[in-house]
Amino acid sequence: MIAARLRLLPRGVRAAAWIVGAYLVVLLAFAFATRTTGLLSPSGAPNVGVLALGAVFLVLRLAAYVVAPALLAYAGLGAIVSRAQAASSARHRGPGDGAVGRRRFR
Amino acid sequence: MRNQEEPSIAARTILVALMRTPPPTWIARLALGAGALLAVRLFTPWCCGREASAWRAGDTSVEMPLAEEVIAFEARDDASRTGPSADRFAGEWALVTHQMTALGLAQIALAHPEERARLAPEVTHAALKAWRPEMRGFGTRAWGGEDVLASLGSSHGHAYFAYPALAVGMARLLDPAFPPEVARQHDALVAAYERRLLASPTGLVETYPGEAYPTDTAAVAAAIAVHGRATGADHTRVLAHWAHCVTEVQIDPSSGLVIQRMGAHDGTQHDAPRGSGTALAAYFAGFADRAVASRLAEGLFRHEATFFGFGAIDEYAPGHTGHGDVDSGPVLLGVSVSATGFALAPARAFGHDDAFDRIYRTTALFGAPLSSGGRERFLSGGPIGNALLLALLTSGPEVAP
Repeated sequence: MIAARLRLLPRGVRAAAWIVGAYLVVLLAFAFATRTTGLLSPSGAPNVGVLALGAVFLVLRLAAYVVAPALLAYAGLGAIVSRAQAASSARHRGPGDGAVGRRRFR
Repeated sequence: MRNQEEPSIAARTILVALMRTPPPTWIARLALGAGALLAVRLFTPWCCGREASAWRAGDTSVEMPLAEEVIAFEARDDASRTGPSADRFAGEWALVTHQMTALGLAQIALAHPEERARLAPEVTHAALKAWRPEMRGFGTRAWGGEDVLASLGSSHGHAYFAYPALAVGMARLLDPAFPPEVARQHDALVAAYERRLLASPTGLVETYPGEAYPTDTAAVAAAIAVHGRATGADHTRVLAHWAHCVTEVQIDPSSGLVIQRMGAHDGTQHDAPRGSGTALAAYFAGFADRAVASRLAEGLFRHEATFFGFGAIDEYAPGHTGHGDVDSGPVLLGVSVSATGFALAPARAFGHDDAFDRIYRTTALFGAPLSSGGRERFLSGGPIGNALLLALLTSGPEVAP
């Protein structure tokens, strides 16, 4: 039921949720992989596997800190603007005109 | 009775509002895009810089968890180390990791005397590891098998060993139980560095044959200065000579950055003026001469690139280009990882608060600090990154009066 409701959310919100979810999964994996070695261990050559995971981690971290907030802000502001416009048009039309909260911008 | 699986009224309201959002016109999309950009401009720097002010203030709630992490690394390293590294840069990383661990812990002990009794033995432990023969194997090989401590009477610089010498000096400053036999070796090494530096008209001491780095020579000056503080020896003359030469020979007048690599005897430029060398030189210079360090910091922060509340340091002075190397780390869009990270120290020590905050945000975004079990570590940096950041983020108490 929750999944069905989530599918009705705007694409931006769903994309942000996917980005943050994927970031948290890779964060856990990267934290585990670097708990003793790190990318630049002084004990020897860098581990290629950890470096590859680190690259994926950094891309997802940037997405989670920059792209996801932008998507959420866009969707949230869109919802606020839409509701404000709907409320404003309802006041101007008066009761019985219908389509309250459903009027489209275009 | 309310179904437990039903969302709350507030959550339901938000969901309904989002589901009913109609597709906006292009003007509305533009306005929403600008709003989203503004939100990111406010949220992302705030989120990445939450701990910047605590680091600037020397708050132990941020310093000690990172200190605990580097102490734990040293204990793990004791258990796992099997022998010297054959690779020069791996060897340099090991040396720098132990040195920076010692310096970071020592700086915390100086800033918070209540931690001194506990941290001083850890400072000594890390400094002595940096002092071990296997840690300087890369330097011995570079000098054709000549060990730095077996050639103190020669004119060969061996400036790379100033890094552990500085760490040992800080340990001697803090730890009354520092081993006297190593202290005697340290005295002899500092005397050799002093003689070599005074004999150099350029104020440079070779790191490897034919290669002199102003940054490494700043570490030599720092080691000499801290030795003076720890033992009471007077090194005023040599430090004045070094400070004069930095100003006259090693700083590029147009950019304010130090030249990365130079001829030790004639002072010819072998590389460009660069941010990574300048930033680390500013940190080391602080141990020896506040005015020189402050001047280097002023030059450095002229090359700060800022974007959306984040800051980073250009690697090359204008008119120079190049790729990343072992000194700079990766160079992306002209800014380098090392220059940016190293710049935290002079920013904190010399009151460049805004620059510190911007650079800390960048460090946190890409370094990815993670707290767990009373410790904090930077996931991207690994042990050397943690040790470096501990030293750089706590810089200040070590600066010469």
